[in-house]
Amino acid sequence: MRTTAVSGGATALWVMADWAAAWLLSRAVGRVEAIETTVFWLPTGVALGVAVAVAGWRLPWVLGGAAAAAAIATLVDGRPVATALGFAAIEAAAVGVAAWVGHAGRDAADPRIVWAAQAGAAVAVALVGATAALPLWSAIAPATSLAAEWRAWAVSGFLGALLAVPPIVAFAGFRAKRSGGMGTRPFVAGAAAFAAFAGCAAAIFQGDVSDRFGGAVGPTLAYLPLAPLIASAVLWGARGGPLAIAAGALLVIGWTAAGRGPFAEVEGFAGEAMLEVQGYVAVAALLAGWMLAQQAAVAAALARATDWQVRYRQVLEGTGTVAVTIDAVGGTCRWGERAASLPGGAPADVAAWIARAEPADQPLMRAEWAALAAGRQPAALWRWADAQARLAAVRGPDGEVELVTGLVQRVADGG
Amino acid sequence: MADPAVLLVHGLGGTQYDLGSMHKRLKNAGFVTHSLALPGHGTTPQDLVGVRAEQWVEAVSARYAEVASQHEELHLMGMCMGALLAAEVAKRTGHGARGRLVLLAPPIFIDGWSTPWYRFLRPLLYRVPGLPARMRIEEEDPFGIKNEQLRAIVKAKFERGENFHYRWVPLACVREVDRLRGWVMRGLERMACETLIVHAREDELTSLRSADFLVEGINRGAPGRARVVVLENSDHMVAIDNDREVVAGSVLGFLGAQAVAGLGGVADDPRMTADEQSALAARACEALAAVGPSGLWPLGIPDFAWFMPGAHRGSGVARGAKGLSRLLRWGAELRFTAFGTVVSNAGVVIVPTTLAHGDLRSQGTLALWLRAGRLLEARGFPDEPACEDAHFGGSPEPDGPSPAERAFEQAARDVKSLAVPPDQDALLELYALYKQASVGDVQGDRPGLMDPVGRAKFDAWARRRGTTRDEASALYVAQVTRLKERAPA
Repeated sequence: MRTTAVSGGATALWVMADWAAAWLLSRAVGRVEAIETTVFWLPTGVALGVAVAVAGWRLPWVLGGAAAAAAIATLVDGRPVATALGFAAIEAAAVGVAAWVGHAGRDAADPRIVWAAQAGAAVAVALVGATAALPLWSAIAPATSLAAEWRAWAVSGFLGALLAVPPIVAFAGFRAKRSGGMGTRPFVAGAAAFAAFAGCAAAIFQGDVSDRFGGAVGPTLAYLPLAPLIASAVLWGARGGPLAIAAGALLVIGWTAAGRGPFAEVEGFAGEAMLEVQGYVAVAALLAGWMLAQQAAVAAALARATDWQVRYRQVLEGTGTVAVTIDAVGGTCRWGERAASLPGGAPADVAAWIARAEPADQPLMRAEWAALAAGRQPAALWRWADAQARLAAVRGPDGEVELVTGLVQRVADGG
Repeated sequence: MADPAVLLVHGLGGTQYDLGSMHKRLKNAGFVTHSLALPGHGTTPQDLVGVRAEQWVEAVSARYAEVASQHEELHLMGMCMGALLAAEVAKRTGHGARGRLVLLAPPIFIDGWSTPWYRFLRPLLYRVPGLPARMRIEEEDPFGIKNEQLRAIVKAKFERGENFHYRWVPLACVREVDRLRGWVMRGLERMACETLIVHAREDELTSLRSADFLVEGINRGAPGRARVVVLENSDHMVAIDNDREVVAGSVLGFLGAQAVAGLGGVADDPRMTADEQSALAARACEALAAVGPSGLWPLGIPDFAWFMPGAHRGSGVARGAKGLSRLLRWGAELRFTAFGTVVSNAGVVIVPTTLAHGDLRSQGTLALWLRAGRLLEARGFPDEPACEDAHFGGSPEPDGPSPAERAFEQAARDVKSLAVPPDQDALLELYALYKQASVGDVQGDRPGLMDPVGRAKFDAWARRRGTTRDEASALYVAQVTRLKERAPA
């Protein structure tokens, strides 16, 4: 019990430190002073990432750490204790509800479900936090537009969670390996793609894009850096990919928040650039996240297929068995591996196969084949001098026999 | 001891499992094999913390000295980090006059295609206080194995918690390997021994650059002293992966234990004087005259091979105990007569002779490969192979066991899972038939009165004396079939 408390306490302190670092980063990079708001709210996303990644028993400690950090940050901002306690409670509630959503899909076999759960958790933390904060805002700032406040909280919270949760969850399972991790080549390729993004983004976002590329073309280049950014995410895979997206997003947000780049060029209304860059980053994160989930799903499917293949081969080779499927209409045989090891090789069709049996047995085998193919008999056991086969009819959706499958063993091999 | 020896050194976190069947293959080729568990190995990975590269080198050096005091001929062989240790010890001891050096997948550079990109960071991590002892470097899929079935087997062994290889090693240990790599890279030109390096082109841990570096370094001291065999279908664990037969063949050939290995340096030193070669050839001729080719097996290494030419029922290679059994089934009556002058050259003896079987008298030549007082293999070269084909008839048996042998092996498996356990008499009968079929007539002394079970088994076996192996094998299969058909009460 004492060990658990110590370990849990360490988790809470770790979350507080992470929360504080993310808070500083959000303020340093995403703060738009003109409208006194932040493009993305990373601290809650970080706390949510940790909450989704850790084992269930640590969750109260994570929530406690996040709540304490939120309270301290509120006090540092010069607000009263009651307000700090209010924000702490909102933080714990939002992260708690969203963690439940994230946990629901965390261990799913399909990586797309895992990603969907993370995206769902990001939505949940944004909605719960923004909605729960409304009474508090109405109490401490009655003149504020609650709708605008709700939207700012929800969008920045969603964006922060979208950027923070995937890399934290991905790196939670990281172990240094002797071999089998990402090799140098894909890493260098991903780094080259990220460098291309950084250069491209710097050219477009780190200054007046209209001055550089002309008023007609410049603003249209905003989405150009997305291609190398997503390429780097895909090349870096499940762990490096989310990190690349987060780093790329921070660069673009930072430049835009500082009043540079295509989004900041024309402000139709106060905060328009912020909304545009939020949409930009959300699109990039969602697109890359979905592509990474698809990539992981393909890899998982390949691993499952390989596992099946290995087990199938082990069983067949271990028991000296050869698999065959026979077209029920034409009698053509389709043989599996090691068919050449059968006595006399692999016959092309069932007629040639039956012809290898003792002459006295052939009429019965032909009759059984006819019964199998017609669906009058579900299975059969055929014997030759040196082999035996178990056959079974496979019916199509209309109930007609389409295939006959079989397992053939050399008698001396497998009895 | 006259028998040649090989000292085998395993890799980091490993055991002799790293070396696959090399112990067995070397023993069958007439070598005495020795091994050791390196400091920090064979227990738990935590025990590797604090172990220094010097301790590994000292342990291998001490074992080398111990084995060297027992054998005139001693070869050194290592796998992965064991290869680095073998190379370093060979360099420090001046190993060369006593034997050769075999390096399997030596990781001079940690730069294989599947090594994580962050490997470059490890010199920085070594400097973080406390981290090298605490950080784990895990052994994960693909485990250095390309063969998927083998990989699945190794994965299952890890999941069962078998102690054949550590699941992880501390970073501190990797630091020691890095130090060891540095030692090995220096002074390679001082290496005094013939060296064989076996390396996979697609080694996921260390690229072919390692093998190239070693070959260039060693050959700088004496051109041609080191050679490399490149494997095309393996990952790092070359002794157990797809190319393990290539590895075994290359190693045995390099150590002079196979007559033909295609490495160019085979049998150039038979480790026998000309008189010893002549004496062994004379004994072989006596055996061929008295009992035929089967008489060569006692003079040969365990994997001694008899090559019968032509295209008849006895053509092909009969290797080891199974080969002898196969030879006896058809060629027990083979004899050789009219031996001509024996000519020897660097471990190969040629003798003109005549094969006699029934009314066949086939003149030709026999070639015997000899090494360290033992026969490696024998090959016949008839003047007219067609005469032998016509006399013996039939066609060569395919490789692998015959149908009768397979039935016997299957029966031996089935007997362990009978639904109704056999009674004592049936068990004794099964034992006697099995021994008669697999060994032949009863051997050894009859156990004393204090060992009634052993005595009863010996007597049962003795009662089968004179039964041929084929008969005994068929009776055994029939007996097991009867027992299988008995239904449980």
